[in-house]
Amino acid sequence: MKLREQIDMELKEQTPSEEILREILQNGKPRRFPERRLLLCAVLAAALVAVPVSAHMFGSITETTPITDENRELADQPDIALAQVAPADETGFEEPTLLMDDPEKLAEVTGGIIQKVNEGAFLPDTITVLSLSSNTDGTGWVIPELLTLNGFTTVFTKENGSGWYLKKGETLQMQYQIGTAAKEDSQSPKGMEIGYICDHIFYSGNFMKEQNFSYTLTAPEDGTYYLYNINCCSGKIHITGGDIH
Amino acid sequence: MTEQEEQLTALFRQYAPQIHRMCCLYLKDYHLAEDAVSETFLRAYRALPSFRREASPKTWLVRIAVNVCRSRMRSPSYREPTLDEIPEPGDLTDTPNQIENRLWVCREIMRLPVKYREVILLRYYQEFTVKEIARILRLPASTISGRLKRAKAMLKPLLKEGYFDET
Repeated sequence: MKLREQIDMELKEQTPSEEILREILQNGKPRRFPERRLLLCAVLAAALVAVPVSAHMFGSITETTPITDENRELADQPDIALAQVAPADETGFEEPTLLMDDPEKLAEVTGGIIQKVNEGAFLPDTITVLSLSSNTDGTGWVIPELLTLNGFTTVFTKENGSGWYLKKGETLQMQYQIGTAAKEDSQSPKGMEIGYICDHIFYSGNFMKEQNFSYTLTAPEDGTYYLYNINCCSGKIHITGGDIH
Repeated sequence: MTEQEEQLTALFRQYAPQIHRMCCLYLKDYHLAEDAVSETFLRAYRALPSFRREASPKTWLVRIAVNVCRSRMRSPSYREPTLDEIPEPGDLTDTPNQIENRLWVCREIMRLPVKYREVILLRYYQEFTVKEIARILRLPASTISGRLKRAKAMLKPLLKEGYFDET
């Protein structure tokens, strides 16, 4: 028997009353507990006040954030203090469109780098485009110290915001390390998805669970490529440095 | 009846029972679940004119229901019931053993932490793919796969019964 059939059997008495439908159609109101809406508004208002306060007290991040001497304490924060409160769209009435389903907005947010998401790929809403400086000997680009939370996507570019033009078969390699700071909460491997964008199309990446990440892109066709990573673990990932070459 | 009302009625009759049962297991409270179903379909009713059918109606409704359940769970008035506190549906003359047998799968699922419970419900009750769940929960697909794997490991008794066998 399938799980679904078993659950339906166990909860067969649990069927919603048609009265719910009638009340929505007649009044356009919830069937009960309308006062909860007021409570929700109060909670939201409190949360809005709390965000700047908690951000000031603890520091929080809303996207992939470079770590510098000025904000180094962020890397030592517990996950709960780093995360923002739930986005307002989860409590509102409008069902928001995912960024990946809105090509115009997606292009706007990424400066035109991503204009389409390949079929079957999933791109979370929080995207940061990060331009990298070239290293001193000019052989690669330096990935700085970064902090990310679950679902944060980082797209890497050259210092001028452009991608890497590769001919079919040419390679581009990205490597970086995580979680080696002195106060890191855990030095265990953490999951990230790493992949590429080719000619403004975002493709599904490879899931890896490592301490030292290494990803080599072999261009499947001529085109302009960008590399990206997505934090897939439940908490923060502290990238301590790396490069693309 | 207007076209919008007819659409809502059709959606309610087709999907409300399974959304209601999903909310029961999500919130572990039958009355709150009914309230959540009510709010889900109210939101859907208001948003129907702007529903562009890029997702299936089921995906759309389940996404609303998940958001409603999450809002409920974040509410200061919500306290997650323990399994002993969950009222039993159905025949009140059942003995505790009969009840335990009747609800054993549901109870196993309700024991899971919510982040594992929701992926099990979406994958094996609503029968969405991992990618569809990723879209509903707005998380990377690999996060969903990892949570499913851990959730199934926590549900060993159900695993033995073959409830997670893919067909």
